[in-house]
Amino acid sequence: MDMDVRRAAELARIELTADEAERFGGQLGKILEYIDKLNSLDVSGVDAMAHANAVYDVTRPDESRPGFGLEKALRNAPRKTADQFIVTKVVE
Amino acid sequence: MELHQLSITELLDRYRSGAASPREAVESVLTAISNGDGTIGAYLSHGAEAALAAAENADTSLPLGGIPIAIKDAINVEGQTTTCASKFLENFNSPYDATVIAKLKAAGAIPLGKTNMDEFAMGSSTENSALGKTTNPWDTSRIPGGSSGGSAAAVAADLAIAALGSDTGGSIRQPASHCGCVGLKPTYGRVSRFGLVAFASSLDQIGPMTKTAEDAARVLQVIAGGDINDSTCLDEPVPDYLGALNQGVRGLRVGLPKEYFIDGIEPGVKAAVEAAVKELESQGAEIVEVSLPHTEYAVATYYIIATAEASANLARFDGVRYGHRSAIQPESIVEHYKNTRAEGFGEEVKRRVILGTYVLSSGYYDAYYLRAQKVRTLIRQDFTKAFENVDVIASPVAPAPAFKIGENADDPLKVYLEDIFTIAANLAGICGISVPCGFSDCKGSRLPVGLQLLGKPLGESDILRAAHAYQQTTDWHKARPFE
Repeated sequence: MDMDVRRAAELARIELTADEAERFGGQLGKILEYIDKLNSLDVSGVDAMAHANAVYDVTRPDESRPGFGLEKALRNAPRKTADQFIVTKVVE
Repeated sequence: MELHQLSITELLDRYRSGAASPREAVESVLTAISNGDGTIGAYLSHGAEAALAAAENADTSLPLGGIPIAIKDAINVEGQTTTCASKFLENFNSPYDATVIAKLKAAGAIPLGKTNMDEFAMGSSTENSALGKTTNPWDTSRIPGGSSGGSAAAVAADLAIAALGSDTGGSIRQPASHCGCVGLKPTYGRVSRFGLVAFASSLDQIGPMTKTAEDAARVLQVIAGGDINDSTCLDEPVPDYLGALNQGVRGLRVGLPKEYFIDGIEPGVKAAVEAAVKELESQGAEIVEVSLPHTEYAVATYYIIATAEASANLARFDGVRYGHRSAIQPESIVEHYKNTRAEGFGEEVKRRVILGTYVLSSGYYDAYYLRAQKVRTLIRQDFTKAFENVDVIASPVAPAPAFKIGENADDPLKVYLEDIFTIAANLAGICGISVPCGFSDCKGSRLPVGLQLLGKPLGESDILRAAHAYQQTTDWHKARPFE
């Protein structure tokens, strides 16, 4: 099974070097080939399972509670100024 | 014996008789680390100051009062770094405690040190750490297993009293097996994941890595239970794990899955596991053959589901709110993401995020992801059916002992197959424990072998009491690498 590594990397927002693209292509191709063994199973009529346990909404009373505050929220920001995150321009 | 060599139970006895203090224990562990961790490389950071301060005020009347515990570096401890062994989070300082850490602290325990791991828990050898190399204490040319390799090596080499790890496909049990300590993966939802950096959210569980089954019960007793901050955490009562330990195995039905005792298991592993099953039988357990017919599909299923979930979870690493950010001036936001993530993630993380993105992408979703979710149902049904006839299932943890560092560097698939016996438990959501059960002589090295005991959902008491009974008549868990 051939896989378009560059397209998947683009969707995953990861820049690949030419060397990585080639190496990953070979390795992931081998892994997909192994994964193809699932096609030998008949899964018609089998329910898909996303979680081991039943997942349901858990709610708590809608009351305010203490949050992080400025220091903790910004503690790990790679770029910040005047108590705000600096982001890359999104809108022209 | 020095204090760092003791189990939790032994250390609590010393505290209660006044023979030792938490400060002395913390100092003993720190000294052992400074003497021994140069060759092992179990730790990424020590948090010595915070541990010593906590030791001063430790209340030894609490269940884990004054017990230092090493923490896998994927779990947040407030004020300390949580790196996930990634360059992306190399300088990340945790603004809060994970629920397990808050519970440990409330029970008197002292977090001491953050342990090495495969980057973002992706790996089975700890070789994927971007921040350090960890070796197997029994043969430092070999891997400690992974991804919780630092925690396993620390406990096995007496550089910790006990540790926490996390297990997504075997990441507690396999390194415990390779290093010769006990590792417990709880039932999915038994322990809160709040504050654990997410790898694959439907599979991840935090659990104890300890010197004895009794110690694992002590830690699980404290960290188990519901949590409003984790909607998948089960709000079920926490049984008295410690109280159930001494019930023995008489009448316990132990299943041997025929699909797990196949050709290709290293002879030393096979012999040790078979002898362990005989020991349980001699103590009164009933041995029954069971079948888990979809075993051979577990690894393929796992590498679709786990990578799909990882690709979504790791989307949060955007270089804005925390973590690495590329210094290259980007032309666009997409370029900002692509450069940041290319620089921050290591090779295996990139490979898995790309694979996960692919199996979820338009045109491939049904063929891969949806199909894998259906096979996951079949794998769970295998266990449901097997557990109609048995209380626990016994097997090897891994098909072979620890391999040489670098041996499989270019063959990720071969490393994935390391987890063939552990992965199904995560897919099914059941609990499992790895218990030292002997050694295999491999090319001049004497390497630990682990027995895996799998239990029903919320069946931790069953596997803990079987493991404890086994440790009452065997000494494998007492063997140490430096004797």
